[in-house]
Amino acid sequence: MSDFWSRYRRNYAAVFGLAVVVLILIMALTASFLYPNDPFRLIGKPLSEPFTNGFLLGSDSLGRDVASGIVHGAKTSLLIGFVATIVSVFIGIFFGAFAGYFGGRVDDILMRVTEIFQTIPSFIFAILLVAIMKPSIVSIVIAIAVVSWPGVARLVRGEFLAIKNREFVQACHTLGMGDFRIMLREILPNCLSPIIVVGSLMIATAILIESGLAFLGLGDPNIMSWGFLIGAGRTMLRSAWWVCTFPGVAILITVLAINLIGEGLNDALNPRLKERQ
Amino acid sequence: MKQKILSIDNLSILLPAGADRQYAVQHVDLELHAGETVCVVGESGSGKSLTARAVMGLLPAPHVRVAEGSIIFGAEDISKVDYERLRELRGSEISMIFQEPMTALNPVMTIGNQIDEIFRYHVSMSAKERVKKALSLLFEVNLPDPEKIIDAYPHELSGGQRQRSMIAMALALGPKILIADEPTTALDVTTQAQILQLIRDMQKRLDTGVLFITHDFGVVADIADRVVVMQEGKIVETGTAKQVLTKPKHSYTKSLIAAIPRLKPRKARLRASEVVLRAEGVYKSFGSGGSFFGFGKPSREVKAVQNVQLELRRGETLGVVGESGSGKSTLARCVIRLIDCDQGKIELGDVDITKLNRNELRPYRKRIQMIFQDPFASLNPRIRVGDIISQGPLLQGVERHDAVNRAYKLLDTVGLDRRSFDRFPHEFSGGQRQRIGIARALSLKPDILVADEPVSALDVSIQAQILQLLDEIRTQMDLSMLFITHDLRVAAQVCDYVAVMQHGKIVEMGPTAELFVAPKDAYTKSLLAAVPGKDWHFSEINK
Repeated sequence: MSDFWSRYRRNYAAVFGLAVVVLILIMALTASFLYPNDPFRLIGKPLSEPFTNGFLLGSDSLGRDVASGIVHGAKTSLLIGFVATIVSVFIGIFFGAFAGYFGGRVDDILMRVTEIFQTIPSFIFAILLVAIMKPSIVSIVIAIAVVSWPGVARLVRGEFLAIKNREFVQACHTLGMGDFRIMLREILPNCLSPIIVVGSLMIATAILIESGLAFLGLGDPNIMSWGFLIGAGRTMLRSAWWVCTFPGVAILITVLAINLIGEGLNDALNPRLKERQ
Repeated sequence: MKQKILSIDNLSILLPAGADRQYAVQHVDLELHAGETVCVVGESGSGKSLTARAVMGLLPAPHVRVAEGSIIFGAEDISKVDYERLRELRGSEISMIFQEPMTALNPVMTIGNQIDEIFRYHVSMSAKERVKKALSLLFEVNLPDPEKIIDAYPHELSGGQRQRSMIAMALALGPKILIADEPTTALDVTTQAQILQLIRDMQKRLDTGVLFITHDFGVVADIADRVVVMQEGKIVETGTAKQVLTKPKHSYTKSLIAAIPRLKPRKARLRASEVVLRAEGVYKSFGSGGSFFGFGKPSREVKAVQNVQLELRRGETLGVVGESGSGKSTLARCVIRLIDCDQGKIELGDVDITKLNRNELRPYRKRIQMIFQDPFASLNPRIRVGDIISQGPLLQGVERHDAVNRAYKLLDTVGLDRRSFDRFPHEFSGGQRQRIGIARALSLKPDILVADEPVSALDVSIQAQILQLLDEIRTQMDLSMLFITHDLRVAAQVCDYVAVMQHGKIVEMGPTAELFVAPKDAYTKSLLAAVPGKDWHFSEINK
């Protein structure tokens, strides 16, 4: 573990990314402390510019505080990002592990299913799913998970294919070990590194999809999120630039930071790749 | 003595910080004369390959570089010349052949094109002349049908043909020096003998100085004029081949030579009457490609094992020898039911295990266990050694306490420290890992061990230790062993009985002593004739 950290630390950008994400996390956790009021509450003059009328980042057309929206929205964005990623990684591991390990017809069937999901443009598919299910935090998580698991499944399948013929797995067969135990205890721990890396990058994508959905008005109407803020401000982009810009910057910084972390994890978990450069 | 063409003086090569030692190669002096073969011998990590690469200017700079010393070729020090000059020298004056011809050749270019490149970069010739020259080169290295091979891609050739093409390329411009880095290690023994002969012939014709890197003293005996023995980056002994092989001075050389398995069959022991394993009419073929959803016929079928009969009796070691692709590993995996055979019977005692399903098979699993070839792939890197050894008994229903105790005892048996129990596999060397693999195989107290090339990935001194360990265990526990190997010298040392396989069939089987002295089958004869260093009587040294 200390070994891992010392390799991760070598990538300054990744350390910076981690610091940013930790800051955003703290901001999200202390949201109701920083801004005790409901972010949907109308608390001042509409369309106030930043630093006027007691608004740090201005207010929107109804007089809601943009800064409060960003702080509370961080909770939603991060939560959806993490939960949707965890769900899709689990689906992906399940499909990939079975397809890779058993091969043959199981592989054929599972991979054709995966391909069906891959051929549908993911964002449009997500819109469709949310529209069918009625926008809520649960339906958004499901939609994001459903459109993003195929990548994980392909990755896990490839890893399982490569590892299942290694001699240590054959040795387990000769000891009489069962298939599920081999998959879970012997093979899976050996392909965790790439899964973690891909998973970390998927969080960033999930946040983007969530923002996109909220922007189109498909977010949970009762929960503040960054996409919702942008969606609410987009018609006034030229007259009141701050309503869209600050939540947009928040998304940019978060996604960038998570991508930096993903890259750092990649270097730290696959040290040999790094040294080859 | 002929003209001196290469002299390495006091060469030291620096390793990057954090490596296990500071210098890969330290204070190395070496001379090469025209028409002479100098063999650099050593075990893995001895620095022999880096020495060769330094001459070609192929060190993985900037991490690994020449720290000190000179490499004089002609009048210049090639460790200091600029890149342009080095490029001129490579291929035309100094050339190299590698261990694995498949990776050394460009897979998307035809052989002809790759030879052509050398002429295009180094000399001016018309296209027609170049093709003619390439054809004559391929002819010189005894490739069949050069017109066809010139348009072939590397994957269409066999390993031996690829290595011949590499040699043709290396010698295209008649270089003064040929560096051969383990050029025959990846090849079968009969092909190896042909390639060694080819190198010798070409050398005689072109008066080339050959710097030959190898770990195999048999090859040294066959090809070397002079020998340089390296250990941990330092030269410990140099001399003529005869001197070094018959009267080695340094203790390390002595131990290396003593560890070489001799092609001297062991004395047959009394044969027990109890048959522990019998294979009858075993067939296995592999199909590949061309199916959609598993429907339709596979397009190509390879018959890996055909009609094999075997009988293994209690306490004996049966060797299965053959070249790559002979089906010996497939047979081993059929016997232990890692793969199911298509036809035939495999009887453990009096039970045919080919008919059993997974649950019925489980109680029989513990009677037959396997030792694998690659000590680095055969242990799960994420599981502690103790768990690796004790998980078999746990699966078979042994109490945890007893399983752990058994694992500790097995660590003693295979000569490892008891503290190894809590360590991970990556903390161990290749030989130690193979011991862990053996302990795992023994953990279920099997009657039969199937050993699939258990020593071929190991250095010769480690190899001798592992073979000795296997022998001790076999006697101690009254085990029977099915020993798969490509190395006849190893087979001669450990096997009571030997079966020779070719193209999936057993062509000859008999007691080792008889079969090695008077082989009947033509293939067996050619295998025995190709064993490197067979004509050489290495000095018998007691360690």
